[in-house]
Amino acid sequence: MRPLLHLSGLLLSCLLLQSGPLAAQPLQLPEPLEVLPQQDPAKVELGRALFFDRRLSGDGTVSCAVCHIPDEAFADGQKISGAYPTNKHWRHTNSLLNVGYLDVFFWDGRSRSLEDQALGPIHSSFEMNLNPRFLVAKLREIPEYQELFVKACGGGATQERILDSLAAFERTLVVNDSPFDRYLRGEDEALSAQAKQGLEIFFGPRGNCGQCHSGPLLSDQKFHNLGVAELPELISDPQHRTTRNFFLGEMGLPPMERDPGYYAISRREKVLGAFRTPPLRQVEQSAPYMHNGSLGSLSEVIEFFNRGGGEDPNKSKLLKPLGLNEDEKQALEVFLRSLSGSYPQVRAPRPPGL
Amino acid sequence: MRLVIKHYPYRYRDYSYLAAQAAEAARAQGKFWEYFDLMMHEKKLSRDDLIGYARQLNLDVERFSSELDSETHRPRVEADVDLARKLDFYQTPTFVINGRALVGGRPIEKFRELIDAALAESKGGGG
Ligand code: HEC
Ligand code: HEC
Repeated sequence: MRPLLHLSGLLLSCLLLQSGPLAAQPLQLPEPLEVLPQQDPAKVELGRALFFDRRLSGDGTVSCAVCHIPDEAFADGQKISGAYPTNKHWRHTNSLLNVGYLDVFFWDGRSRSLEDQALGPIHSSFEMNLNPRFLVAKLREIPEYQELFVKACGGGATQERILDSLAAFERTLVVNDSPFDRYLRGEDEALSAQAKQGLEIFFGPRGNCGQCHSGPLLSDQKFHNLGVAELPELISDPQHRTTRNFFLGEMGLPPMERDPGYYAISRREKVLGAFRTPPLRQVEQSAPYMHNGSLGSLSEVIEFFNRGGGEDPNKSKLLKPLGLNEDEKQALEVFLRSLSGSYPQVRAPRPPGL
Repeated sequence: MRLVIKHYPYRYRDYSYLAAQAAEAARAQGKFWEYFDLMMHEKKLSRDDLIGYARQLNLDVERFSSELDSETHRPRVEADVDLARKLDFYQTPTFVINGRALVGGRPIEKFRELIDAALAESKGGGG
């Protein structure tokens, strides 16, 4: 196949694979990911210690890393996330790779900064179940932690410093050297011919994925209802129900037989069941997929979009059956796999004071 | 291939240590798996429930109850808990396949992947 024309790094002519009326439209590719500002190393070090520390939970067994496993793209590989012992969760764990680029957090967008976000799991009854003020009191009694706090923040442990340091650590969890990233920076040979075919489908009219998976992160950070089916166990199991209905109550909503998604935040009927478009770097490593982990593999996700998504009265008008043939589905999957690069191999430090 | 089960009773649950010891008391009479499956199925784990399961499986109930009450099998359960802590495992279930840990209830594909990898390795190693 002829190499694709690379115009000013952003525009790509897609005359090659298609003929017909749409063929002449230029393909709009995102800008490459910018480099994030360097984080203060002392803060990152403290944040890493906190991230791996099980003492951030009520019973001393759950750290952030229990659900955001470093070797698994900082996700946890389960359909529905793990939970505080004896409880059950109700959503799938997000990968933490490239969270430093996001402005909108969680599947339903209920948090707007990493600092704010980090308080959620510590405090949550079904995640780490620890009163954050009690955490501050605990950390102040551990001299090694005191030292780390002074070095990183110029003073002893406070809630704000805990959250700042966790956020600084998370901002170092970056993937930006995937074949796709190298291609965006002008390395034409970084993608195979098949991956380039997939890229055309993704950003072009055949797949139209780029309507929502747009921008350098491959997410518009907006909310869309794809009609992803509810998991039956979330509706039938009393512990999953407890967690959902507790969450809804905390948001000021009555119990519901479904995940309301962005509706819990915006209260507009139209966004019932809408979720934030996930960024897609390293996506091959973070199966299963969707807010409830209900799709097991990339090929299932592609089949799902090929059918035009699931069933829901509120389903996005942007989804249409695509009629992709086997060849095109393969190419799209190869493209999704080209979004994998390397990321920091962080290990748990020795827990301070233990 | 060999499947080994280690106990990890959650330390703040009323019956989890008892249930782990009951499974060991059933093992002493050669019915670990039957007992384990029955417990997982029934889910109730009080002393009376546990003795009831022993009766259902035609175990020697007198021996079973006395071993349970005198905590005969507690050291074995505690040895498992110590091992888990040493390996830094705190979540149940945790699966270890040829040294690689899988925490939580994972999709079956993930098990296939690790088992296939382990099999390939053992072939490669000439074992
Ligand atoms: C018990 C499992 C669990 C623990 C422990 C946990 N998380 Fe999460 N995390 C999740 C789940 C599940 C979600 C998605 C929840 C949702 O959208 O409602 C999530 C979402 C996030 C997100 C949002 C990512 C995105 O794409 O928007 C960040 C950031 C995050 N967690 C960081 C942390 C930090 C920092 C800690 C420790 C202080 C932590 N998590 C502890 C399960 C966990
Ligand atoms: C209408 C906007 C929209 C379009 C078009 C779209 N997506 Fe998505 N995508 C989303 C949203 C929103 C989610 C999460 C939905 C949920 O959890 O309910 C998602 C989820 C995914 C996931 C799972 C990611 C994860 O971490 O769970 C993949 C992979 C994906 N999309 C790929 C694609 C591909 C490939 C296409 C084109 C064939 C596409 N998307 C088209 C909005 C869109």
